[in-house]
Amino acid sequence: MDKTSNNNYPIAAIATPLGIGALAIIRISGFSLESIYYSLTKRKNTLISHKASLCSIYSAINNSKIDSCIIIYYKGPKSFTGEDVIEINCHGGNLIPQMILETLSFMGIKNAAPGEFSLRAFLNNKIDLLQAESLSSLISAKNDLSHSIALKNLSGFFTQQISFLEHELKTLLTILENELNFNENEITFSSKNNILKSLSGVCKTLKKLDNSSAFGSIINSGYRILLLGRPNVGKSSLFNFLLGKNRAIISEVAGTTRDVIEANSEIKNIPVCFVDTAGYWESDDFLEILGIKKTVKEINSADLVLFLDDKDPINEFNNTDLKINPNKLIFVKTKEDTVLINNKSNNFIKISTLKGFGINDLTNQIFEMFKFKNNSGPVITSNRQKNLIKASLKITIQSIDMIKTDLEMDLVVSNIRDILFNLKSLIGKVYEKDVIDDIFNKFCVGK
Amino acid sequence: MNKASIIVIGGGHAGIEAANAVLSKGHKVNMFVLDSSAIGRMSCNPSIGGLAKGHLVKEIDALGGIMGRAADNSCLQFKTLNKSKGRAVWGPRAQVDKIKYASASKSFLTKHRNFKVISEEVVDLIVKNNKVLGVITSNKNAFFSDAVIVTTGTFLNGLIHIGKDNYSAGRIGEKAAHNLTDSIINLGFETGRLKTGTPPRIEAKSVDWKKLEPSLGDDNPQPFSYKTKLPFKNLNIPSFIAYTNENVHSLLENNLYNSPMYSGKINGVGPRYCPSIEDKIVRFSDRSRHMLYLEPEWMDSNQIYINGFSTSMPKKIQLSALRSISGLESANLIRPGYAIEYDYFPTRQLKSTLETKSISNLFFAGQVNGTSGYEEAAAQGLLAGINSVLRIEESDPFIINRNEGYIGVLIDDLITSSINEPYRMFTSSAEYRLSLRSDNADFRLTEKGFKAGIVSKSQYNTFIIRKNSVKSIESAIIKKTISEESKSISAQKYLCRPSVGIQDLFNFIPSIKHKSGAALFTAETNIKYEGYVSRETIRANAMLQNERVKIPKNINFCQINGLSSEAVEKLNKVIPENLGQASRIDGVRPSDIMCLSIFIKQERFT
Ligand SMILES: Cc1cc2nc3c(=O)[nH]c(=O)nc-3n(C[C@H](O)[C@H](O)[C@H](O)COP(=O)(O)OP(=O)(O)OC[C@H]3O[C@@H](n4cnc5c(N)ncnc54)[C@H](O)[C@@H]3O)c2cc1C
Ligand SMILES: Nc1nc2c(ncn2[C@@H]2O[C@H](COP(=O)(O)OP(=O)(O)OP(=O)(O)O)[C@@H](O)[C@H]2O)c(=O)[nH]1
Ligand SMILES: [Mg+2]
Repeated sequence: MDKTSNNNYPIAAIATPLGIGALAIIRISGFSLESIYYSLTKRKNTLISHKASLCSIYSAINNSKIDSCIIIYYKGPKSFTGEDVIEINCHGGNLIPQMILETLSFMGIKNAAPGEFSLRAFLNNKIDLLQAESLSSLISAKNDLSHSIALKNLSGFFTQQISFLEHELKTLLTILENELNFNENEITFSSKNNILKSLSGVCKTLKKLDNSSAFGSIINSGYRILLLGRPNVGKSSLFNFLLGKNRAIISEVAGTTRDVIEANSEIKNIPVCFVDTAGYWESDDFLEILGIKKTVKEINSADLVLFLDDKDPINEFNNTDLKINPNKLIFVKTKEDTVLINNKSNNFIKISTLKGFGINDLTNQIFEMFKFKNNSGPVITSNRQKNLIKASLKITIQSIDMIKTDLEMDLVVSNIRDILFNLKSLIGKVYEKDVIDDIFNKFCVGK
Repeated sequence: MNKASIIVIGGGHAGIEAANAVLSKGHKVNMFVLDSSAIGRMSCNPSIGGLAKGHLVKEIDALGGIMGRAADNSCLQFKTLNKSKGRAVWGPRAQVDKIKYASASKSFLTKHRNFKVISEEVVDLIVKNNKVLGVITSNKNAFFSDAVIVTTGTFLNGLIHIGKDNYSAGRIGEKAAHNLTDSIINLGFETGRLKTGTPPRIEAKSVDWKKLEPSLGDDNPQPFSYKTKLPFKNLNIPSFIAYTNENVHSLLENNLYNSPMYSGKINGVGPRYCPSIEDKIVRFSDRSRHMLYLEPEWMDSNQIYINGFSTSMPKKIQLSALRSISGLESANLIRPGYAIEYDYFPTRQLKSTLETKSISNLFFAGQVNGTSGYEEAAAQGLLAGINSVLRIEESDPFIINRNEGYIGVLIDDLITSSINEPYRMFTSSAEYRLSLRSDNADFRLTEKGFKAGIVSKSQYNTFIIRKNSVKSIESAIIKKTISEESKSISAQKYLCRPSVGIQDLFNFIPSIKHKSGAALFTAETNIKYEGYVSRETIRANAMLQNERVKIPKNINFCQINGLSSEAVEKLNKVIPENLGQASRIDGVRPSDIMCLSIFIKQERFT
């Protein structure tokens, strides 16, 4: 697709998912859309912006009525794209929206390419690049949390933070450049401390943003929760129970699970990814050794480990030489089918997947662990953003060291220009065609 | 092709380099001047180079220009400024003998048989069908040519101010040119007024030198020019440091109403960066003293230039202010400082070749373009000279990109930004500064100049030898591993340490020991700066990508959908040649560039 080949003509697309839902929305954007409205509706009333009106829509191909619809007209530039926009709310399903679209094509209105509406909004300065990027992740958001983050970024919060950094660095750059411009004895230099202070501030914010990028990737992939324990203690059973479906094979044979299985889910809107493993026990079975190696690797990349045992999980854990951060560890005693349990008093949670006991306590505890990690600042959601922030952070840290060790100022200043370049490209302040194409390519049609 | 003949109006630094470039391409030059004895005259300070300007001199030399050679030949003292700040901003500077400098530059031209000086004032341009055909002089003589390069400096309607007095002059002792501005305006050009100033000159024998602090040049300086024989010997004549004081300041302050700039007598805008002493006192009122350099204007001269004391106060006040300075108590004026106002032509009327947009084969270069400084003028002269020939030959223009040289930055800034004060070259204007060092000017430009035909075969060969020498040092270092406290470390890494210099590697790599100092320096810098330069290159490549997208000549910006009205206005003013230039225009946003790029792409298919 090449949506950058022309931007003058009106475009149309079905903005709601195909085939689903009782209603569908067809969106048209372009200039002087009045005539399109008049021929679609065969009406002669004056169009009022931002007003909905109920009207019949007729086929331009054979003049027959297609549907009764609600039409909203947005006069540009007060519209999503900045151009005139018409939104037709018609009945859902496949047939009617398609017929309307065909009629529009017949009238010479092109089908919009994916992202073309947002691209026009960007071109008309209705949204900035970060907002466009957020919009794209909003549309593909998998869960509630990522939805709200995308919304927050969409409001320009992220851009604000970056612009603030940009301003800070520009001020510093101006001062330092000015010092380079003059002869040593013509001016007094600004103190090393002031430069360091300013750069440390930038560094701090960048670090925060970088951390939020770790969080951002969780939005898309979920917190990793690892199920660990001896063979046959009931890991796969818990895994299936938490997912609410049978993903892993369960059997009374020890060592049933040979490989790592993972599945995404949510705990009270927090995205998680459960990982079922093979037991960690020493074994002569070659395949199993492979599985065990994988398990150790998994421990390191997990955000939380559930250590399961059907006898005494704490004791059992101490018998192993596994090293796991206690803050990342919950002990679970399995197969508590009979006892009336009082979970609070113990250092472990007792559950029974057979009876469904204790599962709520477990999920509550998991939720408590993650809910505070919920970030209040802007969140980085794309790889592009993440890499730019990481690169900026790295150069900032290097620059601070350079100033401390009195390295030449021309190098420091060049570093500051590099950071600025990265940040500007983050919010689309430098024009890089590839980047912009890439972002708008991720969209689906109608947005 | 037949020999073209090109008219250069002006024999200042711009005119000289323009003429030289044309002559090196084998064509004819008719140079028009008001006073043939003033060719190559330095109007103001007796020095060439300095911060950022030194880079320009090195680049001019790398492109076969005259300025560096003339400065080396007439050098009284050579010093690299800003040594404490990193080698990318080091500014080589020569104090020169003004008389020798002028005669040296002139002799580089007069040795060409195709060069002719005509001492007549040009009063009009002959233009037909929007193409310049020649000039008319005040004697009513017409001269025809294939191209005309205007380098009239401060002479167009020049007006000298000293206190409340003013009189017409091109610079002190030379008359102004009065008719040319009007004839250019009649061709539809816009014009404006700028001003600059120069300090007083005093008698050497009236100075109490014992009270002043001598300041010498570097011990073993590298000369500007590749052609200057090594080791570079110069006289290393000291200049002397004096300081203003509170008395001087209050005297000047009390007389501000006498200064034509403050009393509103001067309409032209002066340079913020090269301020007069009265400017400095007002603007930096917290400083209790300013440093001055007393510099000889030529060898054994009785005429002393007071660097840092540019002024247009009445003569009487200049003198009493000077006499309040320690060491100058009985100073005698040879000539007072003065300010000069002159006409210039805003550079948005030019293309990147310095040809005017509206009249073909007409070029502008030097101070008449609103710049200030010898080096800035010379750099433009060189570019206008080469491009005038390429224009006639109908070959591709000679353009230096922003990542290739300060000359490129200078010209791009001129044609892209709106300039409302005299433009002076600064290292901060060069965003790819680490690659644009004064020591590697030849690496950046000599080959390019050779291909365009302005660099001689012998200069090119000299460069190739130097290039090979630098490369061999670099590869010897890159290949070497050295051991330090029983650990092994690559010589390259070792050299990157701030405290280590290339001479510390001599014991490990004896083969590099005997290489020239200049080659060792460039190799050392290349290695030390490599990590930083590679990031800078990423930035430069992003720029070049847009630089390559040409904007069609007859584009109508009003027609482009989505452009903000501010962008349309600015684009119409500048008429950028490519997307990169467009993106550097103030007030044009990335989204505007996006719209523009879409439009261009679509045009190409229809
Ligand atoms: C008073 C003064 C102070 C200055 N101070 C500084 C300073 O502090 N710092 C700094 O960097 N620079 C300073 N300069 C600027 C510097 O001298 C110029 O930038 C530089 O010399 C400009 O070179 P140019 O070749 O453009 O013009 P110029 O050197 O001015 O040469 C102009 C030439 O054009 C000829 N000419 C003009 N009109 C005609 C005509 N109609 N017909 C025929 N010939 C004509 C003249 O005879 C002359 O040969 C100062 C200049 C002056 C006059
Ligand atoms: N009574 C009872 N039996 C359970 C419970 N949970 C699991 N089991 C049984 O324990 C056996 C092993 O269960 P799995 O879930 O396969 O155990 P695992 O830990 O995944 O075993 P491997 O994959 O072999 O390491 C099966 O026979 C399950 O039916 C429980 O809560 N109560
Ligand atoms: Mg299992």
